[in-house]
Amino acid sequence: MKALHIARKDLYRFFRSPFVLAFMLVLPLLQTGIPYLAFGGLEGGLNVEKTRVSVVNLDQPVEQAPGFLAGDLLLAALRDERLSQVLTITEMTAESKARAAVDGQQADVAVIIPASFTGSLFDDTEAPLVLYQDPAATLGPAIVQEIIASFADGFSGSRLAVDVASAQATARGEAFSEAEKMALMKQYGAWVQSLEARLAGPHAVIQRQSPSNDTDPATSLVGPLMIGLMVFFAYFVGAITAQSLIHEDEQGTLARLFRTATPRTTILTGKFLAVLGALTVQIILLIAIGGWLFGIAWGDPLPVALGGLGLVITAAGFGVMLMSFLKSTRQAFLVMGGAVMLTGMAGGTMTTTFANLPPALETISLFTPQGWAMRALETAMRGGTIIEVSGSAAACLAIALLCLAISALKLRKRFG
Amino acid sequence: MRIVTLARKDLAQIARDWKSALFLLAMPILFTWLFGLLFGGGGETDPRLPVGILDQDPAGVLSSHLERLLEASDAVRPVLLEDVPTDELERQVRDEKLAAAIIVPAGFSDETLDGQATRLTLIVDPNSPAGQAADRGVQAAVARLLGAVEASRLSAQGSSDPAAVEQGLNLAVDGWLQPQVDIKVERAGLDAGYDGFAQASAGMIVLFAIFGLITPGYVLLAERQSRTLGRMLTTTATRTEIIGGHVLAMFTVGFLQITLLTLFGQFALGVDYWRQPLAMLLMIAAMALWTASLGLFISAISKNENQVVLIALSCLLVLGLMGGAIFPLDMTSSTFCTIGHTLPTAWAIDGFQDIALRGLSGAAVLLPAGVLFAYAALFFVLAVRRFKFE
Repeated sequence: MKALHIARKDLYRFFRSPFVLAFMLVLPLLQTGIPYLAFGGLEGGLNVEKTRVSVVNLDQPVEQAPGFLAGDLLLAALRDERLSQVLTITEMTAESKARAAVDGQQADVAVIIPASFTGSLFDDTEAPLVLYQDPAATLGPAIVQEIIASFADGFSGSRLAVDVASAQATARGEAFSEAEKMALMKQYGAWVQSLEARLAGPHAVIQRQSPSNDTDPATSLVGPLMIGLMVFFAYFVGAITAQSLIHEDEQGTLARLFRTATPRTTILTGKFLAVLGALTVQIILLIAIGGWLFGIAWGDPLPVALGGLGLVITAAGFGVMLMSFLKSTRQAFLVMGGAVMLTGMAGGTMTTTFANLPPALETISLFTPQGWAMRALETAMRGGTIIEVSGSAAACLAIALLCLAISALKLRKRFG
Repeated sequence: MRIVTLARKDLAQIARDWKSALFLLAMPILFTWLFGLLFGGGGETDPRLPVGILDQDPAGVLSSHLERLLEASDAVRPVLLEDVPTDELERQVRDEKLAAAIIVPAGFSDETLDGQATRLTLIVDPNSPAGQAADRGVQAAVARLLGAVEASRLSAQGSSDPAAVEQGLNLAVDGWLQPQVDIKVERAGLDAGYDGFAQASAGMIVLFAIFGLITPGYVLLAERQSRTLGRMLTTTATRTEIIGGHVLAMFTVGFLQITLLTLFGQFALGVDYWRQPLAMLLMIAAMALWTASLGLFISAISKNENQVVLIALSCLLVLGLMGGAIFPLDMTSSTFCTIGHTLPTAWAIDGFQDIALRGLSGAAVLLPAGVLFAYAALFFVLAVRRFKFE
């Protein structure tokens, strides 16, 4: 009962401290909210800046196909009405001007259609399309490259059809005339026109099936991000609240408490319960606010609760252990900040939104308490059952017990 | 001269605490390395997204061709799967073990070659960036596969000889591995190719220059709390000299930190910051002066150490995240990008990238450096107005 009184007194102090409240709620919500806004959370979708494209079309006609210019078709495709929301096209008269526009940051990417572009479709000369891009730009040039690659495949395919037909005719000992080649290219060109519907229409050849229930891209991004931040800041809160032990030691109130009839283990248990209480409130509030503010679907209540419990006990155990090694509050923030940031980084709390991570990072995360807490909550978010979450939660419990055992040894030595 | 003496005292205090080095150097180096890896730096592992293939049509020719075309993709790499139930595939995609998974149904080859519309199933999260990229990679490979089928059909000229069709198909798929129309991507500036470290480094330098304010902020606050600042006013030192001494110390810490981090970028990560030494020195000076003014402002409005930490962290999050230190601004929504570009952090990143990524001349950094000097003046004026010696 006395332990509960001590815990209540500490909790009352924590919840009146702007510093603790900032780490509990303000900073994790701020750090989640900014990317949510950045990736179109309030705009109902990501509406990126238009990519500025300078195009120079140097393409020249060839004898085999008078009146046909592949470069003109590419330019028309880039100017397509459907792309006007994402691209701003400026036509240039010379390659040097198109490149200069990128160098001078008036354009994000320059598309250079070479003089022999059409010719290369009829002979074996190489005439690559050149994309000259601002190296600091990321998304815009990638969009342009994708559009051009899809367009270029149409030309490559028609040439391929001619090459295959020509090779087969030669193998049969038959001639393959220029007129037949042109006819074949036109046939393939007509087929390419229908390809878009075959790939994206209601009866597309690819039937897409989503494993997730999220419909909003911003929510889909923010959910894993908030798990990472919740875990990251929970460890800060665990350490900051456990700091009250050192604070009271410095002020002499702990020594006075130890001289009362209350056993030391009861006092220390009360302190630990206060840390657990603060973390429990933090996690419940963050989960509730995250769901309400950002529409995050955390998963079924029981697996989420088990994952949250795993986080609370490891963050509390880790915080108390960290503080048991410190001598003064002056040391506290730097050491605590360093340890929490390093283990948080290794545990994957900052990399939740990145795909295809190096396998080594995943292995390293298994050696940190944050890594296991992340696993438990991520499994719950992906629709995992309580049994699927229980493995990670059990690992959290084991880590918490280990941390507490180390803390007990250190604190016993310190407070006798 | 007194300004220098006071600054030397602050610097000695900071240097005595080994933990300062953790935040000023060790952390930014570790974070640059981590984010560089995440942005595709290092280049040792296959950066392509893993896409599972469950082939339920093993006797058909098209599934093996699809696998070859996926293998040739720049965006995705095929991972062959055997006897995996659909719900397990969904789980692997949901858990991000795979960016997507393709199910090739039984009879897919024969029916497609017969001109029937048989559908592949693609399990993919349309809302995740990895899912979207994998979808586009798979779609490009499927388009090429269908193109190869069409090319072989056209070249067979109505012949129903399966051997001729198969031979045509093989030739067409071989052709797709080296398509006729090539796209050559060139990067402006240094033409060093894409480098994740170059993308991550400037942002991390800017981020940790703000984080590094905590220690000098502590020093100034400790002087006010211990009433040393007030006592100094009883000496012949002027207010300007006292404030100037602290600003000079903060500026020196920032200047040294950013210089060391750019040298680390230059020699350890191969980011060519020092190709324009004068421009680089100007950018570092502008950045250090802005962070020093911000540090003075934070110390001026903070009443205790916790407030120094909180305000510095809030500045780091708001200015860093919104200025493009973690994710490039051109990936964000148009409104966010416009707001982000007004912040000093965005200008600082622009200036560093103008030199190290875009390879521009020294004159290019005059504007970003000028904006940083203007922000430095603004924060300095605000700090001096709020500064209290007692």
